[in-house]
Amino acid sequence: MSYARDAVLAAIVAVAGGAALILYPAEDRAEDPPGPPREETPETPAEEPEDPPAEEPEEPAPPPVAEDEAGAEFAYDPPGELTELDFRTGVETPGFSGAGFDGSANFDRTYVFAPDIVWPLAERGFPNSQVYRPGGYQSAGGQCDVSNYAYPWQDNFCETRGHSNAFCQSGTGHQGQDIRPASCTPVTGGEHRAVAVADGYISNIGSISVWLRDTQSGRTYWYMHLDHWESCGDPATLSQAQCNSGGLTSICSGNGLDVEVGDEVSKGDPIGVVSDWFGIGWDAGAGRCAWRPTTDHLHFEIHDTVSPDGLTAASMRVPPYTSLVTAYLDRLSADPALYPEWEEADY
Amino acid sequence: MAMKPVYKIALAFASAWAVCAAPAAIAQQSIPQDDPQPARIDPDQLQAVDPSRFQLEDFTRLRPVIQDTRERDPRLAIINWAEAAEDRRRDLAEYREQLSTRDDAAGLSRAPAQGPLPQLAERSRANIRPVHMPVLLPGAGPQALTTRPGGEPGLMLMTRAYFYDASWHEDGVSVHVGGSRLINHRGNDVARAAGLNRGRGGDGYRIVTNESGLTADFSRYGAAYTVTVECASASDPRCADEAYLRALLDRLIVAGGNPEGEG
Repeated sequence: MSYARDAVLAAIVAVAGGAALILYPAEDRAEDPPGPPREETPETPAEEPEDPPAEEPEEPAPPPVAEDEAGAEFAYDPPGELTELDFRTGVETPGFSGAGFDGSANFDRTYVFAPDIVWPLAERGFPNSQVYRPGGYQSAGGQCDVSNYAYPWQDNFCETRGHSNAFCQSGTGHQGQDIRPASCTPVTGGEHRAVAVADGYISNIGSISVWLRDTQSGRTYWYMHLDHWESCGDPATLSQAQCNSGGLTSICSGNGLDVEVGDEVSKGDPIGVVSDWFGIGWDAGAGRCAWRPTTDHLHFEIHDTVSPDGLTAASMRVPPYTSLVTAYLDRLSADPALYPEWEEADY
Repeated sequence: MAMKPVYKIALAFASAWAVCAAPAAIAQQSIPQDDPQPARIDPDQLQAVDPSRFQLEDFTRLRPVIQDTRERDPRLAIINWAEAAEDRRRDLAEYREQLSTRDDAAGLSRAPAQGPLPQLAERSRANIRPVHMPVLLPGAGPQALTTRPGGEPGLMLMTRAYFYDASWHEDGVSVHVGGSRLINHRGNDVARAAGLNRGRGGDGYRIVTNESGLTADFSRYGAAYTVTVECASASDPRCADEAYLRALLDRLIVAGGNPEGEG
């Protein structure tokens, strides 16, 4: 073979190869990534288009909660449900602390008598029993037990007492709602203030209670066990006759409250400091006059006018628990969904 | 002469206005929401009031009470002013009778020790006059009163158009007398009123013990009243039985009230 013929053949092969590269380029020039060879996927026939796959169901939004200034989630037991737990035995017994207001022919147990009041303390608080929870005389432990200063709230209107109460199933029972303040001051120190729940005036300052007349609705609110005096001496210095009459004013002096009778107040104005004040009494066993302190709490009552016949007015203590729940939700700026569907009095 | 239809229509509108709108407008004008300042009344000042000058003019304009509920405000109890006026006349007559039997020179200017004390009503006329309900106050004896335990001498009287409060402290006992004409809640029917009246005695008083004393509530002249005693001492017998409270109830007098603007 001649050299010229070989050169011509080589030129033809080169041109043909170049043309083939131009006319039939490789579809994928990218190099395979390093690693194991790719698995061949068998060809599948074209399928009919399908509906898009169902999306994963979204997580439901967490229910709104109302948190107080300490970050605790507000919770409350239903109105009319009194504590059933005997802290001495740990046993729950229905009716242990009495039978709560369970509604009547006239008013449902969830009826809100005073929907427009504000919370009666300047800080958070804990409505519950002072008798049947730790520190009470029908319980064990001390009043500063942490369980007393925690949610959920508990109603104690109609709790077993000897006082007449037309709303209670037995005809007698506790006439208000007991409220522990933000902390147990015998341990924590400090002081917690009660405040006006409505615009009005101070209509009475008795030995144990302070009354606020609501000038919008005409209702009256009782605040009991506030610290009434700036200072007091020893009641043991009083004779029995003095102890049983006006002797207290001879050993106590100075107005410990934030108000005087006749003062006009607005919602939220300070009334006085929550305390264990309960006056004096003659201790026959010891033969002397003595303090008779209660637990550190506010006893709160609502006195309202109810008409049995639509024509005549009658004054009554009414259940305060539902009004307090509503006021507390207001205080916490709670989500509207958290408000129970309770019937509210229309003023 | 027969009226044209257009006049009939106009007359019908005018009549409807007269029936519906006018009474409401009159009621709004004639029952103002006055807010008198609280009064502190020193018992010593009461002795200077001449009891022979007690007035009855607040009640002279009384007319028979119209028991027509169609146009009344359902939030206000119907007041039987005629009954209140009769009670007031009787109270004053009894008081003058007591005065006439006293033979000391000061008898005409000093209240009987345990009798009613209309000087209080006379002294507090400015506060009582705006109240559109009979104001009941007890005749107080000549004891030293203070506004609260350890407070200023005297008693406090606070009034509004439809309710009032009087309170004082006397030798270890705090006393409150108050009333309201407002109806904030009503029972669904009369048959169910029994539950609301539970505990009420045949005399109309419901006397209830509470944590610090006693309260009597009752309805009179259509309004709601309460009398409460509260003791500083748990062993004070005045808060342990009903005698002291009932004595206060027995001494209640109609101190005044303003029926103006009511039929």
